Amino acid sequence: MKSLILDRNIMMVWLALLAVSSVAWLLSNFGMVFESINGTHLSQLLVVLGYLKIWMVVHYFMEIKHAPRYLQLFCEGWVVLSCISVLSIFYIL
Amino acid sequence: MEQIYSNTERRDDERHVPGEPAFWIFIVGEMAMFGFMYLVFLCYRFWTPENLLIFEAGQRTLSQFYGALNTVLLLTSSWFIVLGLKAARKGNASEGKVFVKLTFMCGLGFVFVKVFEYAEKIQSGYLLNTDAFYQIYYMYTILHLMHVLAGLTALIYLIKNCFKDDCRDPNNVAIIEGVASFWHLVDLLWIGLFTLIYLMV
Amino acid sequence: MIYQPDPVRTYLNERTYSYLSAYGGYAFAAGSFIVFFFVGRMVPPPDPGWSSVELAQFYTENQTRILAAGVGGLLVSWLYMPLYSLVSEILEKHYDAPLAAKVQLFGAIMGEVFVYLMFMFITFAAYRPERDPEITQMLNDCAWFFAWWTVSTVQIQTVAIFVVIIKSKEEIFPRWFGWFMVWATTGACLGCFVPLFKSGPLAYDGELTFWFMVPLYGLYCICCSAASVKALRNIDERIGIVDKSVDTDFDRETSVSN
Repeated sequence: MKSLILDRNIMMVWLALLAVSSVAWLLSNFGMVFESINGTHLSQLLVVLGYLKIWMVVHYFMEIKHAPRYLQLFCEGWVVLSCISVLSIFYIL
Repeated sequence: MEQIYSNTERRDDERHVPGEPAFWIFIVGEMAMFGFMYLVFLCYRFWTPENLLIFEAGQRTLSQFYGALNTVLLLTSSWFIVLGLKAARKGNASEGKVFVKLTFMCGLGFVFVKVFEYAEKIQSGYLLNTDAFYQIYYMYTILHLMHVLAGLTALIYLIKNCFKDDCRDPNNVAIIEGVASFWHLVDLLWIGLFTLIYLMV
Repeated sequence: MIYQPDPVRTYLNERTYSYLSAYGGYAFAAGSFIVFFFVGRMVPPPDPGWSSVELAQFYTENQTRILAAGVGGLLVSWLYMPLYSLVSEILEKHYDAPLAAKVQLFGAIMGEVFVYLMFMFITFAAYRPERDPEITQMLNDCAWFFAWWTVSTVQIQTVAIFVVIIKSKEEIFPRWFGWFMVWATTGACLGCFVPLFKSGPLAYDGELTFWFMVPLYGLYCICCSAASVKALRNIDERIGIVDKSVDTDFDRETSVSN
């Protein structure tokens, strides 16, 4: 049990996910203190961080890393496409 | 040529579909649907300046604490089910069962936090038809909560049926992989909702 | 001689009709699409936030077109019946799941009734648009709510089909069809909440209801057709009909190897 929990690769992914979540939470609450960042850019940054987390879950946890190419294309393609489309809304509207 | 390694222990460079291949129609379909829902949310948010004000005001009434707590719970549960799957592949049924039970507890925690959050919102008078923001907030999170409940049911099935002595059987591992993939789907959809509904400034 | 039902003979007897029924789903999807989008031009649908006067005006201006769509709807809706009867038949005879087959058929019948009622009520609304506008508004609401009530009937169909396909080890319907059905059910959940809203993405003309679920419904019919055709081909293969084209020649029975 211990050996599984301490499995370095998976634990690193989990810790990275928690770290990115904390950074996103901090940015969302205290990001506005930096005068050089405006709300829109901060939101875009948060969206990118969110999709980074989604990509990590898809790639490492869902084992898409070891999936056949076509599945990889669908799943990770969706992550990229969805991220781009969400970001483009900021510019269109 | 003889197959050297069994289906459950494969080399890193060998590619294989987790779970049943046809199952991924469902996963990719769900991803596409939620991707569309994220777009709709943002379009409504930015459609007019009044909408933006309503959405920002609505967002400020949400509790980021509950959202963040739920994110941590789901991320941890995802980690646990990955470990459970690894244990099952190694033929370690009892450990695997413990990990899946931990996953289940985290999922249950998510549901409790969500219910508390809804109760708090309803007590403060924010209902389904209060404004455009709350309409979307409630519907999206309820739809996601339905996924969580479906996932919990699947986890109960796993705990009851899939961690026996012969848990290394490829068919059995495929079932665990399918449920694990669904649980990760629930996780990643929540990450998207959390970012868009709770965190955006 | 005592009559004994022979599954192979029964199947061959209706094989041509089965194929026609299966292809009927494509015709239903295409026909309703043409009727709804090109004849009726109900896109975008009337806004649920309109006043009754505006709505009555909409029906007055588009009267002929909507009446034509009503007639067209009644002409294409029947294509629904043979397709889902066929699905039930396959579930019952080839999966040994008579209960699920009946549940599926029950859902299909109710769904068909709602589809008919939707076309009927837009016809009623357009028939005398000069009447009291509030009555027109009510008829219009009836039409759209009947349309959304197909959600529940479609869900029971999909669940019945899914359970049978996923549980079975046989592959007559392709497995992806079962998983597609679950996805259709989850997508359809959004449509259950239409009565709660008069604006926003979940009102009956909303992005997540009208613009997402009408294409989803079309996809659902097309997938049912495609999967039924595949299922018939699989059955053909099992009973030994090698030629995969549809043919009406019943002498083929001689080439069947039992």
